[in-house]
Amino acid sequence: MKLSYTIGIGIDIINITRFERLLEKGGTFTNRLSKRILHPNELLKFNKLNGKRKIEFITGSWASKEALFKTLDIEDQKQFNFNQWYRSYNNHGKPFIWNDAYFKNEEFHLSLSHDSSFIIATVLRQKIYNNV
Amino acid sequence: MFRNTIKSFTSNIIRPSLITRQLPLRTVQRCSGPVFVRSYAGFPSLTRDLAKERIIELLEGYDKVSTKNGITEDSSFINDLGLDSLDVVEVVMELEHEFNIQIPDNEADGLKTVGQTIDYILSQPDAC
Repeated sequence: MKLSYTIGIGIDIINITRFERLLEKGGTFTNRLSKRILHPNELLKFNKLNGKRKIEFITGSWASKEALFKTLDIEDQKQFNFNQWYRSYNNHGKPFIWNDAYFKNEEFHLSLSHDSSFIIATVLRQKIYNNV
Repeated sequence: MFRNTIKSFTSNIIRPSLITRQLPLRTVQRCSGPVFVRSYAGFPSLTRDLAKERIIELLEGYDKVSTKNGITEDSSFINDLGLDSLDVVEVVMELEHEFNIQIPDNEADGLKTVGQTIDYILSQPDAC
Protein backbone atom coordinates (compact mmCIF):
# COMPACT_ATOMS: atom_id res chain seq x y z
CA MET A 1 0.00 0.00 0.00
CA LYS A 2 1.18 3.50 -0.83
CA LEU A 3 1.13 6.07 1.91
CA SER A 4 1.98 9.75 1.67
CA TYR A 5 2.01 12.68 4.01
CA THR A 6 1.99 16.41 3.42
CA ILE A 7 5.29 18.26 3.73
CA GLY A 8 4.43 21.50 1.94
CA ILE A 9 1.68 23.72 0.63
CA GLY A 10 1.85 26.69 -1.73
CA ILE A 11 -0.62 29.09 -3.33
CA ASP A 12 -0.49 31.79 -6.00
CA ILE A 13 -3.03 34.17 -7.49
CA ILE A 14 -2.54 36.21 -10.65
CA ASN A 15 -4.54 38.42 -12.96
CA ILE A 16 -4.47 37.30 -16.60
CA THR A 17 -4.04 40.94 -17.64
CA ARG A 18 -0.46 40.76 -16.35
CA PHE A 19 0.51 38.28 -19.05
CA GLU A 20 -1.74 39.98 -21.58
CA ARG A 21 0.47 43.05 -21.24
CA LEU A 22 3.73 41.08 -21.27
CA LEU A 23 2.78 39.18 -24.41
CA GLU A 24 1.97 42.47 -26.12
CA LYS A 25 5.51 43.74 -25.65
CA GLY A 26 6.46 42.21 -28.96
CA GLY A 27 9.94 41.89 -30.42
CA THR A 28 11.81 38.91 -29.03
CA PHE A 29 10.22 39.39 -25.61
CA THR A 30 7.29 36.95 -26.00
CA ASN A 31 9.61 34.28 -27.29
CA ARG A 32 12.14 34.78 -24.50
CA LEU A 33 9.42 34.95 -21.83
CA SER A 34 7.70 31.74 -22.96
CA LYS A 35 11.02 29.88 -23.11
CA ARG A 36 11.89 31.12 -19.65
CA ILE A 37 8.63 30.09 -18.00
CA LEU A 38 7.41 27.07 -19.96
CA HIS A 39 8.89 23.56 -20.07
CA PRO A 40 9.69 22.41 -23.65
CA ASN A 41 6.55 20.17 -23.55
CA GLU A 42 4.41 23.12 -22.51
CA LEU A 43 6.05 25.32 -25.10
CA LEU A 44 4.87 23.01 -27.88
CA LYS A 45 1.30 23.41 -26.70
CA PHE A 46 1.65 27.15 -26.10
CA ASN A 47 2.88 27.75 -29.62
CA LYS A 48 -0.21 26.03 -31.03
CA LEU A 49 -2.65 28.14 -29.01
CA ASN A 50 -4.04 31.53 -29.94
CA GLY A 51 -5.74 34.50 -28.37
CA LYS A 52 -7.16 34.23 -24.87
CA ARG A 53 -6.35 30.50 -24.50
CA LYS A 54 -2.69 31.26 -25.10
CA ILE A 55 -2.63 33.92 -22.40
CA GLU A 56 -4.56 31.70 -19.95
CA PHE A 57 -2.18 28.84 -20.60
CA ILE A 58 0.99 30.72 -19.70
CA THR A 59 -0.72 32.47 -16.77
CA GLY A 60 -1.86 29.07 -15.42
CA SER A 61 1.64 27.69 -15.82
CA TRP A 62 3.15 30.67 -13.99
CA ALA A 63 0.65 30.44 -11.10
CA SER A 64 1.23 26.67 -10.78
CA LYS A 65 5.00 27.09 -10.64
CA GLU A 66 4.87 30.00 -8.19
CA ALA A 67 2.65 27.88 -5.93
CA LEU A 68 5.00 24.93 -6.38
CA PHE A 69 8.05 27.08 -5.54
CA LYS A 70 6.54 27.90 -2.16
CA THR A 71 6.35 24.20 -1.27
CA LEU A 72 10.04 23.55 -1.93
CA ASP A 73 12.91 23.41 0.57
CA ILE A 74 15.29 26.39 0.51
CA GLU A 75 18.01 24.35 -1.23
CA ASP A 76 15.62 23.33 -4.00
CA GLN A 77 14.34 26.90 -4.31
CA LYS A 78 17.91 27.99 -5.04
CA GLN A 79 18.06 25.48 -7.91
CA PHE A 80 14.64 26.45 -9.21
CA ASN A 81 14.13 27.15 -12.90
CA PHE A 82 10.59 27.68 -14.16
CA ASN A 83 11.18 25.82 -17.40
CA GLN A 84 12.24 22.57 -15.70
CA TRP A 85 8.77 21.99 -14.27
CA TYR A 86 5.70 20.95 -16.22
CA ARG A 87 2.04 20.32 -15.55
CA SER A 88 0.50 16.96 -16.35
CA TYR A 89 -2.45 14.68 -15.44
CA ASN A 90 -2.46 11.31 -13.65
CA ASN A 91 -4.53 8.22 -14.60
CA HIS A 92 -7.55 9.71 -12.88
CA GLY A 93 -7.24 13.01 -14.75
CA LYS A 94 -5.99 14.88 -11.68
CA PRO A 95 -3.40 17.54 -12.39
CA PHE A 96 0.07 17.42 -10.90
CA ILE A 97 3.34 19.19 -11.48
CA TRP A 98 6.75 17.59 -11.91
CA ASN A 99 10.39 18.10 -12.81
CA ASP A 100 12.32 15.20 -14.39
CA ALA A 101 15.48 16.27 -12.56
CA TYR A 102 13.82 16.12 -9.12
CA PHE A 103 14.71 12.79 -7.53
CA LYS A 104 12.98 12.85 -4.17
CA ASN A 105 10.21 10.31 -3.66
CA GLU A 106 7.49 12.93 -3.55
CA GLU A 107 4.45 14.12 -5.46
CA PHE A 108 3.04 17.59 -6.12
CA HIS A 109 -0.74 17.77 -6.45
CA LEU A 110 -2.03 20.77 -8.32
CA SER A 111 -5.39 22.51 -8.23
CA LEU A 112 -6.30 25.53 -10.35
CA SER A 113 -9.35 27.76 -10.41
CA HIS A 114 -10.45 30.74 -12.54
CA ASP A 115 -12.84 33.59 -12.01
CA SER A 116 -13.13 36.39 -14.57
CA SER A 117 -9.53 37.44 -15.11
CA PHE A 118 -8.06 35.77 -12.01
CA ILE A 119 -6.32 32.42 -11.84
CA ILE A 120 -5.44 30.80 -8.54
CA ALA A 121 -3.22 27.75 -8.09
CA THR A 122 -2.56 25.54 -5.07
CA VAL A 123 0.12 22.90 -4.82
CA LEU A 124 0.29 20.20 -2.15
CA ARG A 125 3.68 18.56 -1.72
CA GLN A 126 3.63 15.01 -0.38
CA LYS A 127 6.31 12.55 0.63
CA ILE A 128 5.56 9.03 -0.59
CA TYR A 129 6.14 5.76 1.24
CA ASN A 130 5.69 2.72 -0.99
CA ASN A 131 4.92 -0.79 0.32
CA VAL A 132 3.81 0.32 3.74
CA MET B 1 -7.00 70.84 -47.65
CA PHE B 2 -9.25 71.56 -44.75
CA ARG B 3 -9.20 67.88 -43.98
CA ASN B 4 -5.41 67.85 -43.98
CA THR B 5 -5.33 70.80 -41.63
CA ILE B 6 -7.63 68.99 -39.25
CA LYS B 7 -5.56 65.85 -39.59
CA SER B 8 -2.25 67.52 -38.78
CA PHE B 9 -3.87 69.46 -36.00
CA THR B 10 -5.37 66.40 -34.33
CA SER B 11 -2.32 64.24 -34.86
CA ASN B 12 -0.26 66.88 -33.07
CA ILE B 13 -2.64 66.72 -30.18
CA ILE B 14 -2.79 62.97 -30.09
CA ARG B 15 0.88 62.28 -30.49
CA PRO B 16 2.11 63.25 -27.01
CA SER B 17 -0.39 60.91 -25.37
CA LEU B 18 0.89 58.06 -27.49
CA ILE B 19 4.32 58.42 -25.98
CA THR B 20 3.70 56.30 -22.94
CA ARG B 21 6.22 54.04 -21.30
CA GLN B 22 9.08 53.48 -23.70
CA LEU B 23 11.95 51.47 -22.34
CA PRO B 24 15.38 52.50 -23.51
CA LEU B 25 16.28 50.76 -26.74
CA ARG B 26 19.90 51.80 -26.79
CA THR B 27 21.27 48.31 -26.36
CA VAL B 28 20.95 47.45 -29.98
CA GLN B 29 23.13 50.34 -31.04
CA ARG B 30 25.57 49.91 -28.19
CA CYS B 31 26.23 46.22 -28.73
CA SER B 32 25.90 45.94 -32.47
CA GLY B 33 29.32 47.18 -33.60
CA PRO B 34 31.23 44.94 -36.01
CA VAL B 35 32.44 42.04 -33.88
CA PHE B 36 35.82 41.75 -35.53
CA VAL B 37 36.83 45.31 -34.68
CA ARG B 38 37.62 46.12 -31.07
CA SER B 39 36.52 49.73 -31.04
CA TYR B 40 37.51 51.19 -27.69
CA ALA B 41 36.53 54.67 -28.76
CA GLY B 42 33.00 53.72 -29.80
CA PHE B 43 32.16 51.44 -26.88
CA PRO B 44 33.24 52.73 -23.49
CA SER B 45 33.94 49.80 -21.18
CA LEU B 46 31.19 49.02 -18.71
CA THR B 47 32.03 50.75 -15.44
CA ARG B 48 30.12 50.35 -12.22
CA ASP B 49 28.72 53.89 -12.52
CA LEU B 50 27.59 53.29 -16.08
CA ALA B 51 25.90 50.00 -15.20
CA LYS B 52 24.20 51.62 -12.21
CA GLU B 53 22.95 54.52 -14.29
CA ARG B 54 21.52 52.21 -16.95
CA ILE B 55 19.78 49.94 -14.42
CA ILE B 56 18.23 52.91 -12.61
CA GLU B 57 17.10 54.42 -15.90
CA LEU B 58 15.48 51.11 -16.84
CA LEU B 59 13.73 50.83 -13.47
CA GLU B 60 12.47 54.41 -13.70
CA GLY B 61 10.74 53.41 -16.93
CA TYR B 62 8.31 51.28 -14.92
CA ASP B 63 5.16 53.06 -13.78
CA LYS B 64 4.91 50.57 -10.97
CA VAL B 65 8.34 51.31 -9.47
CA SER B 66 7.99 53.44 -6.41
CA THR B 67 10.67 56.13 -6.61
CA LYS B 68 9.60 58.26 -3.68
CA ASN B 69 12.70 57.27 -1.70
CA GLY B 70 14.92 57.28 -4.78
CA ILE B 71 16.60 54.24 -6.26
CA THR B 72 19.93 53.39 -4.65
CA GLU B 73 22.20 50.34 -4.65
CA ASP B 74 20.52 49.22 -1.44
CA SER B 75 17.03 49.35 -2.96
CA SER B 76 15.36 45.95 -2.87
CA PHE B 77 13.23 45.24 -5.94
CA ILE B 78 10.43 43.77 -3.87
CA ASN B 79 10.60 45.54 -0.50
CA ASP B 80 11.60 49.06 -1.61
CA LEU B 81 10.56 49.36 -5.25
CA GLY B 82 7.23 47.54 -4.81
CA LEU B 83 7.77 44.92 -7.51
CA ASP B 84 6.38 41.37 -7.31
CA SER B 85 7.89 38.14 -8.61
CA LEU B 86 6.51 38.54 -12.12
CA ASP B 87 7.75 42.15 -12.31
CA VAL B 88 11.19 40.94 -11.26
CA VAL B 89 11.20 38.38 -14.08
CA GLU B 90 10.28 41.17 -16.50
CA VAL B 91 13.04 43.44 -15.16
CA VAL B 92 15.58 40.61 -15.33
CA MET B 93 14.62 39.96 -18.95
CA GLU B 94 14.92 43.65 -19.81
CA LEU B 95 18.36 43.65 -18.16
CA GLU B 96 19.38 40.64 -20.27
CA HIS B 97 18.41 42.65 -23.32
CA GLU B 98 20.00 45.88 -22.09
CA PHE B 99 23.38 44.31 -21.22
CA ASN B 100 23.35 41.52 -23.80
CA ILE B 101 23.68 38.73 -21.19
CA GLN B 102 21.77 35.68 -19.94
CA ILE B 103 20.53 35.55 -16.34
CA PRO B 104 19.06 32.11 -15.48
CA ASP B 105 16.19 31.93 -12.94
CA ASN B 106 18.32 30.33 -10.26
CA GLU B 107 20.87 33.18 -10.53
CA ALA B 108 18.14 35.81 -10.81
CA ASP B 109 16.64 34.62 -7.51
CA GLY B 110 19.80 35.79 -5.75
CA LEU B 111 19.50 39.31 -7.15
CA LYS B 112 17.44 41.03 -4.47
CA THR B 113 18.82 44.56 -4.68
CA VAL B 114 20.04 47.00 -7.32
CA GLY B 115 23.60 46.69 -5.96
CA GLN B 116 23.62 42.87 -6.18
CA THR B 117 22.37 43.17 -9.73
CA ILE B 118 25.16 45.59 -10.67
CA ASP B 119 27.73 43.17 -9.19
CA TYR B 120 26.22 40.31 -11.18
CA ILE B 121 26.24 42.24 -14.45
CA LEU B 122 29.85 43.37 -13.96
CA SER B 123 30.85 39.74 -13.28
CA GLN B 124 29.58 38.72 -16.72
CA PRO B 125 32.41 38.92 -19.25
CA ASP B 126 30.01 39.46 -22.16
CA ALA B 127 28.09 42.34 -20.58
CA CYS B 128 28.27 45.50 -22.65
